[in-house]
Formats: sequence, C-alpha cells, structure tokens
Amino acid sequence: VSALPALLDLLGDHTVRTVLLGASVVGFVAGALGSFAYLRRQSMMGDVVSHAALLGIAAAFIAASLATGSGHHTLVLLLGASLAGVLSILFATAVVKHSRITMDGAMAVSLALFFGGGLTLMRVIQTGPFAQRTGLNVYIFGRAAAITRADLQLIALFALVALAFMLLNWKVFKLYSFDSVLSELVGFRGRTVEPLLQATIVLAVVIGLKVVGLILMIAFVVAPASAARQWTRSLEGMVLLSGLFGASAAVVGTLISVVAGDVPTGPVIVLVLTAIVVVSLLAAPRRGLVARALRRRRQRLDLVRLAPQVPR
Amino acid sequence: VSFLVGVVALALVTALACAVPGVFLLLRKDAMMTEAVSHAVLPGIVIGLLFVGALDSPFLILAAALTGLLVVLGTEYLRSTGLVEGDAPLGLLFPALFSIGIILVSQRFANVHLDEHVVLVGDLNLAAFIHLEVGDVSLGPRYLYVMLAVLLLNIAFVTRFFKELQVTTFDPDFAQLSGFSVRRLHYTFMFLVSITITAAFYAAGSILTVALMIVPAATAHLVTKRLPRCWRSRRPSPWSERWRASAPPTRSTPPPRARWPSSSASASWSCSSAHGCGRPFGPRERSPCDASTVGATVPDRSVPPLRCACAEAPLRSGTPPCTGVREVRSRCRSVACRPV
Repeated sequence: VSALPALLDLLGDHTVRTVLLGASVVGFVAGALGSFAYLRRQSMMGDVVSHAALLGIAAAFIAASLATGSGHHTLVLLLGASLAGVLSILFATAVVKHSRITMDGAMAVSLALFFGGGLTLMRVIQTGPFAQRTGLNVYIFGRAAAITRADLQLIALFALVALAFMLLNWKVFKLYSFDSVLSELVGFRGRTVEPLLQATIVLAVVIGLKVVGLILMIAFVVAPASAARQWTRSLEGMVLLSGLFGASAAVVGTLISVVAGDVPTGPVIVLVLTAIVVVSLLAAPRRGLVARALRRRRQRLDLVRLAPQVPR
Repeated sequence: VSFLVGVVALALVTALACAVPGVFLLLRKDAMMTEAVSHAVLPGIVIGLLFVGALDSPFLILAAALTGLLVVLGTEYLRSTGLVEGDAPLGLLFPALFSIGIILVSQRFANVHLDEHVVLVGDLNLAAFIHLEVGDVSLGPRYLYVMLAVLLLNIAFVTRFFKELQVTTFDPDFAQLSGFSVRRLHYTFMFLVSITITAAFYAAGSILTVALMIVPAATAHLVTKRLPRCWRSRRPSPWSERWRASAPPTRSTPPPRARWPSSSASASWSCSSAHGCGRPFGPRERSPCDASTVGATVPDRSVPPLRCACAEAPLRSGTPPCTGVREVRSRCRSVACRPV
C-alpha cells in the first residue's frame, strides 16, 4: 500500500512517462506483428532484421551528415534502418531461392553480413569527421531513458503506420500466414504479400531498437507471440493478447528498472517477457504443461481402473 | 614473433577453428543456433570472470560453454513439448540469458572489466597483447595457443567421428534406426560448438563468430557437393579388425520381432567395431549389419548375412563385405527398403 504513492510519484515524472509510453507502444506493436512472424514460422527473421538495421542506421547517419552537417535525424535513421531490414530479408530469401543454402543458413549469412557492415560503418563514423557521433551506440544495447519527445512521436507514427497496414490487409495477411498456397490460388500474389507483411514487421522492429537495443529486440517479436499462442486459438485473440503481453511487459520492466536504479531497462523487460512465457507454458488451460500433466495422470488412472476388465 | 604476426596468426587460427564445426552446423540446419549460443555464453563468461578473473582461462571457457549448452538443451526441450512452433524456441532462451549477462556487466563488479563493445566485436589486439615468452624468446600471443587447442580439438573430433557426423547430419532418422546415438552425438557436438564460440568470443566478439562459423561453410556449400570422404569411414581400421577377431560375440540376437514371423533367431553375428560398435556414438543395439536369416543370405561366408526391410527385396549376392552404413544401404535393391 505504501508503494502506491511512490508509484504515482514516478508516473508524475516526465521522463518516466515518456519512457513508459514509448516502451509500451513498442511492446504492443512488436508483439502484435510478431504473431504473424510466429505463425509463418520465421520468428528469427526478427533477429536478422534488428541486426541488419545497424547498417541502415550507420549508412543513414553518414548520408545525413554529408547532406546536412548533422546525422541525428531520428526519422532518417529509422527509415535507413527499415530499408536495411527489408533488404536483409530480401537477401536471405533470394539466397534460399537461388542456391541450395537453407533458410537458417541464409538468415545467419544475412545477419552476419549486414551487422558486420554496420559495425564497419560505425567504426568509420567514430574515426571520421562527423559531428555528434556519440549517440549511435544507443541503438545497439538500447537505452530507454534516452527516448525524447520527438522520438516518442516518431515511434507513435511508425506504430500507427504498422498497425494500419496490418488492419487494412488483415484478411490477406491472415490467409497468407496460414495457407500461402490458397492465398496464391485466390489471387493474392506471394510476391506482393510477402514483402508487404515483412515490411510491416520491419517497421515494428526498428522502432524498438532505441528502447531495448537491436540484440534483445528478438524477444519482443518472439516471446509475446509464443505466450499468447498458449492461451488462444484465434488469430484475432492471439494478436491482441500478444500485443497486450508485450505492452505490459514493457511497462512492468520499465518500472522495475526505474525503481531498482542502475539497471538497464531493455534486459529487465526481456526478463519480464521470459517470465510471462514461462507462466504461459506452464499454466495455460488445455495446452499448458500443468494441464497436460494432470490430464495424463487422469488418463493413467482411468486406464488402471479399466485394466482388470481387459482379457489377459 | 612480432605483434602484427601474432595478431594475424590469432585471427587465422580463430577463423579456422570456427569454420570446422560450421560446416556441420550449416548442413544440420542449425546455423541460427550459433547466433543463440554466441549470445547465451555471455552470463557464463561474466560469472566466470567473477571467479577466475581472466578471459583466456580454460575453466572460464568450459563454464561459459555450459551456459551455451543450456540454450541447446532448452531449445530441444521446448521443441519436444510441441507448445512453441517454428523457430520460436530458439528465440526464447538466448535473449533471457543475454539479458542476465548484460545486467551483470552493467553492475560493474569489482574485478569484471568487460566493455560492452568487446562483447559485440571482441578485441583482437587485446587478445593478442600478452605474449607467451620462454626465456627471452616470444612465442606469439598466449591466446593463440588457446585457440590452437580449440582448433585441434575440433579437427580431432571431426576426423574421429566423421562417419557418425555424416550419417546423423544427412539422415538422422536412418542413423537412429541403425542404432547410432544421434542425441548423444548432437549434444557432444553442440558442446564443442559452444566451446569454440566461447573461445572465439574474446578475439571475434559474439556476433562476428556467427560470420566466422556460417559464412565460410555457406560459401563452400555453393561450390562443392560432397563432404570429403574419410578414409576411416570407408574401411575398417586394422585396430578394429583385431578387435573383431578377438572379441567373442557377446550380444545375442534380439528376439524375433512380431512383424517378422519367419525370423528364426539362429545365426548370431554380432556387429563388429568396424561399424562403430566400439565408438561412443556408434550403433549398438541394431547395427546395420546385424545378423538374421530372413531374406536371401549371401552365399559367400565372408559376407555377414543381411536382411532388408522388405521381404521381396533380397540382397544382391556377391557384394563386398559390409563396411559402413552407405554400403549397407546400397545393398538393398529397392530404395524404399532399408537394411535392418
């Protein structure tokens, strides 16, 4: 009870409010769109995208610096990150299509190439004649406290675009995620739907980079969807629940890290997400491990009861 | 040895050590597992640093490799529950472990000096900084010898268990049916991968090890179509011949199975070590050359009798002695028939 005023006090803080809002929006959008990646069985693509985004961020920084003198335009950086993310996916799918390398290998190669390129450009930025070159490391490990009001507006903008895309193409995305062959037969070309869906997911991923960092962003894509899958059997329910899981983990994680003081926000959010997944795996009705164990036990007992009636 | 030569040698040895297991990882469709393991070893490294205090200690490498193995085991478990689909199990565990590592690093323990940047890209110069000196002669970076040991370990493992790796990689179901302990080999191999990643971590960082492991293998996969054939896998070694000659057939023929009504358990020919019985991952119970009288037996006595899984597909006679899995399979006429 005594914690409540302290909590309200925290919420009164402007920075904390900004961070909470930003993190929860990111959590919601990434969780919701992560459901599609999960259903398409390509969750790890989120990892590739978030790593590849570094190349886009660094390249956009250099381009913006050369053009305007200052590289810190968050919109430009985010657009660069999105472009690099889409390119990394296209690269991986092209490799799979045109060679005998399988998807996981292509993903690893794409990740390594784009991230390696990004690190190289970061080194160029560090040693080159660029103004304000210090802020870019934020995107690697994430620093939720560094979110400004302008960042928040951009995050909201990207989130709205991603959600609007998802809702407008809901029927197509749903059909394509569950049965790409039928979707093709009905007339929605995979060649068009696939990049559209991936680009929507990319939008959701890049806005989270500043909050949890590119390494841990995968957790926002995979964990809420995996947890939500345990509780529901409809896509609508899964997307909504996944978004809510992501948002609530972001809120709880941010609060914990603020209260605890010198603990980075991103990792705490990820640990909260992991806890949600563990609870879901254990406790979900019907599917959960506990429910399954109880059902097995009941069946075993039934079998024992019936056993004498079975002729030897 | 000058500093520059030391750095180049360390880079070379690190790249080689990573590339050797990378080939099998790629073929086993486990390429993204490197990404997961390379992140998951971080808490192991930080905790190891707390106790050992040096990044190049073998104890630290082993301890951290165990954390990496945790991801492998956890992922397998999550997959086996069937609750999490696709590649999602892979993405669930390593972020949590990496988060623990980052939180530990951020707390800046008294004797843990691990820059966040080093976590990502490693520090080749730092790793090559301390040279091994005997008397007044510098023998190159000390870490070079750690990596060299890992490289030799990898090469030794791959050459020793080439056949096992080959069969479990290309046809795990068949390997399982033939009695190879697929899981044990898998975990041993992944532990080795984990060790390699941890060792390379210092020199190449967490994410660039993925590049060092998978990119060379993927490139090679584009160019060539075959794994180099291992002499050992083609022909039993003199050692195993002697073992077969001296060892009495200890294992009795398994009782006839219900789906083989005509099988009378008479000829007991225990499969020899030539087929891997003497090896830790080799077939034990149901070896590809297990004896039975079902189907046409080959007249030549030097050839162990074999049977195929379909009654209508007898063995071709006059084939040379069975020396390995691939040969056994080719002796059953139809592709659908597998040697039992």
